[in-house]
Amino acid sequence: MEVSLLFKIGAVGILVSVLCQILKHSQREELAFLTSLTGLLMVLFWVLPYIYDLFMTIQDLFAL
Amino acid sequence: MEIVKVAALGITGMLLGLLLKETKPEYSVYLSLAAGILVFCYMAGKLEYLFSSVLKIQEYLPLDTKYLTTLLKMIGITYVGQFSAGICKDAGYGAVASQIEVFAKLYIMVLSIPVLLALMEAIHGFLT
Repeated sequence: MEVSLLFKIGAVGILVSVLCQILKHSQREELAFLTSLTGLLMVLFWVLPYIYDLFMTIQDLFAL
Repeated sequence: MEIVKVAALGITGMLLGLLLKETKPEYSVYLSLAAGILVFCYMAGKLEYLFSSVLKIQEYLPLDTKYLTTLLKMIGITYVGQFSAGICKDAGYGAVASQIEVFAKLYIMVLSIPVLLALMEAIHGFLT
């Protein structure tokens, strides 16, 4: 869980940027847009539970 | 030690973020968010220990628990406000960050008003 999350996000970022370059050069802009969108959503769904846990722990810890 | 792990975590997050800053800037925002959350995971254990010891100390003093919870709340608000404002500033949205900070300051002032009133009443009690 610790650092692997960072490496996963970095890997998805690099992969998506490479894919978008390839798709752009082969004149498929909409596909490039779709891949970047899916990459973004995938990372969002990875990070979302962490954000939720963060705010739950803060609420319990600081009695907010 | 812990500090070395946290420093290494932050530096890897920063390096990965720099790597992706030109081509895909949104991923660098995700990376800074993820790094911040992971560092908070290290902090949570320490904070838990800190607050339990403060509560133990508080039992010896004849202090009202209401003030201690207000204090904890203020620390929590500053932390959350600072964290989110920093994330917004990294992403380049300084205006949103300053709005968050102004709201955090305002909310802390609202929280401190009852303590101030209690102080005033105590002083008023002495004088009359």
